[in-house]
Amino acid sequence: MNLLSLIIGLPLFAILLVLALPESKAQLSKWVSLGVTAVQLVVVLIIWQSFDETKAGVLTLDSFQFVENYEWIKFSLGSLGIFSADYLIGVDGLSITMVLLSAIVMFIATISSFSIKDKVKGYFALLLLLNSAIYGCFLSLDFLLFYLFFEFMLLPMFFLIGIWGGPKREYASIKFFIYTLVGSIFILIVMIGLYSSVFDPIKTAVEAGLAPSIDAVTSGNLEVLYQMVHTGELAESKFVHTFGLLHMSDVRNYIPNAIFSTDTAITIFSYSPRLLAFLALFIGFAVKLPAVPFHTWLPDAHVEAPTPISVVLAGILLKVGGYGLMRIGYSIFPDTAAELSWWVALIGMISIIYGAYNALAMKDLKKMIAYSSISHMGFILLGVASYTVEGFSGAIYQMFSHGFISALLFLLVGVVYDRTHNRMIENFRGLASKMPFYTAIVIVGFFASLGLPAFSGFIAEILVFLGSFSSETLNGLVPRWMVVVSILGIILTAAYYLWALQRMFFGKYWVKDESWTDKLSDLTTREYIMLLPLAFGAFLFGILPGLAIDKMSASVITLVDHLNQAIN
Amino acid sequence: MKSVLQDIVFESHYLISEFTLAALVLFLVLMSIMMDTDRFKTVLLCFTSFVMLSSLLMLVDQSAAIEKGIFMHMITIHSYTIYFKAIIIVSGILAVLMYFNVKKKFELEPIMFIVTIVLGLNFLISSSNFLMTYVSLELVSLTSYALVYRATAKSSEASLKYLLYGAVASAILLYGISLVYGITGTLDYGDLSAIARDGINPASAIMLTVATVMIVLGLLFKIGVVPMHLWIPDVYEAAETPVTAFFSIGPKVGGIVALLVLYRSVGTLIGYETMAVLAVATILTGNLPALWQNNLKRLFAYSSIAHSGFLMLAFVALVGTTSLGAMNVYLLIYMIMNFAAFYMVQLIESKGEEATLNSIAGLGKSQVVLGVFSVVLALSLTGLPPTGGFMAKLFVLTSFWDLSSVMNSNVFWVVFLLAIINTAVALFYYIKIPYYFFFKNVGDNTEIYVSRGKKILLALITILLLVSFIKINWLIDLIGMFNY
Repeated sequence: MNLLSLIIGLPLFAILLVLALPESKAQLSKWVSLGVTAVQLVVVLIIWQSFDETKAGVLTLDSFQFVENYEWIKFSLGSLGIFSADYLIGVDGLSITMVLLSAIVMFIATISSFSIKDKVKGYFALLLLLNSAIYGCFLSLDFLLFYLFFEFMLLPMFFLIGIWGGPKREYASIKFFIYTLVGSIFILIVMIGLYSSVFDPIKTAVEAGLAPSIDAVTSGNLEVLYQMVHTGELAESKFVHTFGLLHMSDVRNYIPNAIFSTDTAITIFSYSPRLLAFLALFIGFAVKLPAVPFHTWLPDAHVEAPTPISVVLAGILLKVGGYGLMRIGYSIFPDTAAELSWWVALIGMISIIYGAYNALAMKDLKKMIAYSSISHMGFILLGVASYTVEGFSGAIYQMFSHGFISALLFLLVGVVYDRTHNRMIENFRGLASKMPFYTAIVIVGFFASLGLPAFSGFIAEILVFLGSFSSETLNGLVPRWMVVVSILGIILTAAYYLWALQRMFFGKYWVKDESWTDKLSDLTTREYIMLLPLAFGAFLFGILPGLAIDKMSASVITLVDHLNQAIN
Repeated sequence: MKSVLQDIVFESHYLISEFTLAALVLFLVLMSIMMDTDRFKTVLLCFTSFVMLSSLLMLVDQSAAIEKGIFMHMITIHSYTIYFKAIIIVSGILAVLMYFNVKKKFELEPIMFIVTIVLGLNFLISSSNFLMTYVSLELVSLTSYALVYRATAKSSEASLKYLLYGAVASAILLYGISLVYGITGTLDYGDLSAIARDGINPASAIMLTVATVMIVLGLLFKIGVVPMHLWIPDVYEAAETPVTAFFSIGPKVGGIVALLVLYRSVGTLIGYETMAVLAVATILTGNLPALWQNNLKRLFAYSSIAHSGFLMLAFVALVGTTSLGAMNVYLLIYMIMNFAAFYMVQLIESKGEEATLNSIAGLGKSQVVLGVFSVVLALSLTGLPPTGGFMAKLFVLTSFWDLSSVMNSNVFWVVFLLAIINTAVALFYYIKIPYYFFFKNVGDNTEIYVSRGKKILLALITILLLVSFIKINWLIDLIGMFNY
């Protein structure tokens, strides 16, 4: 069974179904979408259950699971070799947690979307398109395919913010589109360069006449092929260029003296092309993440986006940045990424501190949480810069955990906003007496986000700190003072959350507009259905981190080994 | 003398495609005098496109004459030019078909002129002698001036501007050619390439450089590359929409392929670096003013300048690395996109006013098919996946990248970077189209009516743009059919 294609393809079919609904039955599209996400959730849980933790993935296709591999494009460019791209998808320890996260968050975001009133069909069609693109991004093992899905997340988001968003939605959606597009252009540059530098050893072996077909290629054939490539025996027209991410992370698959090969003599403005390539990838994914100073689109997008879209944006889309950085940036350019580790860690540290300071100053609750997201994403950079198993595990865990917590927090903001169409912190006081259950979940969310032990955020942050702290003695990549400063960020995080809690929820009940009092009822059943699983998830993965860590550890160890080999 | 005549008679059948077009022009001239053209509009349009289609199929005959100098070495068919002729003819056919949508009284002259330009362009890219090049270029130019003129104040201004610019460009070209003749004593590409190989004395070499610059400038005028792009916005805005659509493909292909033939048969006229810089300057010159356009035809005019820049990049990559692939794919997809864009303009114009961004405000809410079409089209023109436009740009950029890593000059890297960053600039104005379609509220303008047949056509074009991404192999196989 092609389970992964089912996950990616199901929403696309559902779009046709939704669009075909007559206008009078438009409300049915909600149930269609919910059905799709429910099926996806079930399929993902099956995958999660049958996932073999001993298989590492990351570098070799054999150890990926649920792999589907079909030839997509292949044709000869004459003397320039052969152009090829594959439909290659699979899951490993780096992506399995992201896939589970996507399934849960998309399901809950769809429930949250039931409150959408106008142009229902269009909304759900776009949400389904976004859904498909998200899974595609996490599952692609071919750069072109990844790029396709990566770009394809932009368009639905652009319309979802731009049509169903708040008062300044047009500005926010265009800003989002342009920022992310500029980022993705940097990724495109590297993709083009890698494509022209890397060959697919298996297909090339067939072209060179070493084996009759792709399936018949043996490791002996590959040895001969690498020898031929090394001595320059193989004609340039025989090289099958590839977008395969796994081929790109193996230095043997680079055409000798090609621009991104490690032995290249080419320099661009006297910088090594591989260094610039990692830099470009870093910028591209840092916009998505977002890291300071590429972050300014995020608060605008969050403030204007409708609640479910904020949930998807914070819960999943930001993770694509971190995931892409690991899967593409670090796996392919481990040598030059290490040279830039100091800067990556610095940007991580600045994001943590700067994001937290901004959150402290925000008057809008949603904007505060948006800045807290930026602050939390800084931990990912700090973790990956350390080149340690703990750092990488922590970074992935942070993405996973932040997915639950930020989705929870944005839904919580949505609760107040739905009732009063206002979410300024200063306009509310003493909500605890009016909405006790709501306040209880808010407290859980805030404490989970500030990294209280027993919640998933704590595990993630402690792992990141352990990894980055040991980095100075292990490999000297991340200086200790950056870690120390970052730890201080946690105090700021506690400060803005507790302060907001104190201002909005404690004290004597007061609201700015008397008419709100009637509207401020406690949580409804639908809201409980959305909020409780997320709160429970943050708690479960806080006390039983092994549930997720075990799935990823083999992959992380393989990846970190690969990284450390490159710098030694 | 007799044998020369014999040769010409014998060689005529190689050019049966061109002769068919010439006969069609004469036939249309007669018809425009004799018939009530408005009454027989459908018949005439169908007939014209049918004959053009048959001339497309007759291109097959030319494969027998590849690299043989025919007509006293005036004409040489190259293996790679047949495909470009096909593109030119197809763009002519599409332009003719677009006349079905033109509401006002039908006249045959524009159709006749379009066929004439197609004919001229096909001769232009077959030419292997500067005399032939000049004559066919003039055939194209003079007809183009007439084609733009439409008896409105705007179009008479535009066609006069076009005439003035065009005449200057022709004069520059002719002057360059005369210098070449003065220095070398020949106009034949083959002889010139021999002279270029053997080397000439330094004093003449400087003059020859001046001459080549002039010749290249003359051809750049047709492509609309900086600094010869000034005529494009006015002319595109003023001409009838089918004509604009045709201008955005046909003459460009003619110009760039004529240049390609020169580079391949005579030698590198102007260095790659200069050409690459011109290309990126063209992209910028097109994209930046496009940001401030409100009139859709003008917007697409500037966008077409930017696309000319990309075409030049493909050209530089092509002559540098000898791989035709990128330019072939780019031209095919660009043709589809541009005709799609101008078809959309035509639908909007059916309201009876000029197509502006304001006139499409809010239309996407009632015209969903048109709205979705506009989104896919905007993506494709920007060069984003999952559309053919992305593949086209990807091929151009990869082949340019290959050239850059061979040359390893910083100029190329900067050009590459600027070109790719321009995708984001382009997005700023292309996205305005779906933005106005969906985000803006409906103004006081009247709704447009899109019939069911047109909706199906729009859906088909949308699917075509998507399929040209997913199944780019099919397009490449199609192109392969015309490469001998």
